[in-house]
Amino acid sequence: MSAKPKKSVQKKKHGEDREPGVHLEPVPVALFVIALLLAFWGMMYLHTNAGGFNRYVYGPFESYDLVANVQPGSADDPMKRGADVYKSICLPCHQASGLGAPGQFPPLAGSDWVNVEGPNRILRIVLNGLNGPIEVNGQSWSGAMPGFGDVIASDEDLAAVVTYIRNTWGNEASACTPEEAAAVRADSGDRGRPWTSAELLALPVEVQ
Amino acid sequence: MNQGPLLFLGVLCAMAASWMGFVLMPQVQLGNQSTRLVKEIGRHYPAERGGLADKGHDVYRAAGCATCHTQQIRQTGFNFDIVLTDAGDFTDLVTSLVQQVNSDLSDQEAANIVAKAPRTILEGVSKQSADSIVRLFKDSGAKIAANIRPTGPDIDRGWGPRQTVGLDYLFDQPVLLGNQRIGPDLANVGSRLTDRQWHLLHLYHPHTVVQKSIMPAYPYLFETRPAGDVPSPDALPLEGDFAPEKGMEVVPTEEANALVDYLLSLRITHPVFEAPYLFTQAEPTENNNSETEQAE
Repeated sequence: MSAKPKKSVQKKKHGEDREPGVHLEPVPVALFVIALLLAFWGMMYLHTNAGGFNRYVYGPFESYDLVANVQPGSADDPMKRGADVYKSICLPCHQASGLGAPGQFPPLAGSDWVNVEGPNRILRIVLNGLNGPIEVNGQSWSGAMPGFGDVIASDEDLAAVVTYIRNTWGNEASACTPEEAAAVRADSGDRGRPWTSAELLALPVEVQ
Repeated sequence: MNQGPLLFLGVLCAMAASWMGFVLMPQVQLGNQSTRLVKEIGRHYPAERGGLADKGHDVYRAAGCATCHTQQIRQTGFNFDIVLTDAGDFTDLVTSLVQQVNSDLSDQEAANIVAKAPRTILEGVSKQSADSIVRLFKDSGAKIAANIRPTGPDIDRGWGPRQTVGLDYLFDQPVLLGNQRIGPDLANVGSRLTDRQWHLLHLYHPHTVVQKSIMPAYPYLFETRPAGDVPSPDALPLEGDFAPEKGMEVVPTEEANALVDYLLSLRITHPVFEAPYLFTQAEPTENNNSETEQAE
């Protein structure tokens, strides 16, 4: 009943052929351009002001760098300390990669002298050096390594560098404690000459 | 109404957009985490609860504990304690530097700190001042540590040593964060209140252990039954108004035990990378219970 008068009103407005319905009207191109520009501006705004999302950063910390920077005890982290000692003493021969140099310096990475239960033998090599032939991972090496017991005077540094060597480049072995380092240093205190691989193989791998 | 496909497409787009925003993006940002070796405790964290505690999670949920208790410790800031860890060889220089850093110290106190290192020089300084103090001591031969300390109302209340982060909830399904704090936060309750008996009494009727508690009692988690010739070892030691009738005893059901196991498993006891603080391996002791009874 109420539809009738409406129809007549529409007829008057649009003419006789026009049926009411949903039509697609062409959207002005300018509107598209404005919308795209707005979207672009929005993305740029987010990019510059949102600060990025990092799953390791929670408030009140502002950035990943800050969180990494305030980790407690980082100065006494044996791995960091060991890395410093390694860089200044071991790196010239054994290289940053721990692979040594073919024909001259045997590798530490993946070495069967490093990846053993205890750090006894490697501590002694670092303290007093090693002379003569040695077999590493089935390959024979010949050369001489000087001892660094005097250069690495602190037991903490000695333990740190051994811990670093035993846990870097894919090596996975237990950490060396300063107590172990001190015990081995005391045991080989007045040795004064480098080890040979035969002497070392006669010793246990773990610190007694 | 001949635009069905278009309408369908519009609805689909709307649903897809909100699904991406609410499900996909959070999954990309925070999901996909796994347990991690925490060097301070030497093991992977977090561990699955397992056993009764897992069931206790369901009891906690069913009893509506999350209505009044949250499980999220918040942190609003952090500052640093400056500790002289090693005085080195130049004690006179270091003593004067210590006094320069903390001008409240008398000559005697500063000398004492240097002689008895490691000692704390200054507490609660900002990151900027901590950095400048570390720089000041750099060439003095002394060793300085700036130990970070989380701050915030929740931490002041003793609800936990640090804020909780996504990793802490790895094995919670669903995560029962809660949104109202009618009762205290429970994220670290297992460290604060370590006594099983206390928890059981508190659940049976909070007034048995905390006079002014407004927590409801949960007697349905317990069974009141006739005591045999020998009383059950599990029976609650109830006295006064709370004691059952003569010849009866109150024993916890499996649900009550599971819930207490779950509560005892809620512990935030060590730092993680996201929420660092100095870990001192302080284990909770028995006398912690008496201290916190008033707070509960």
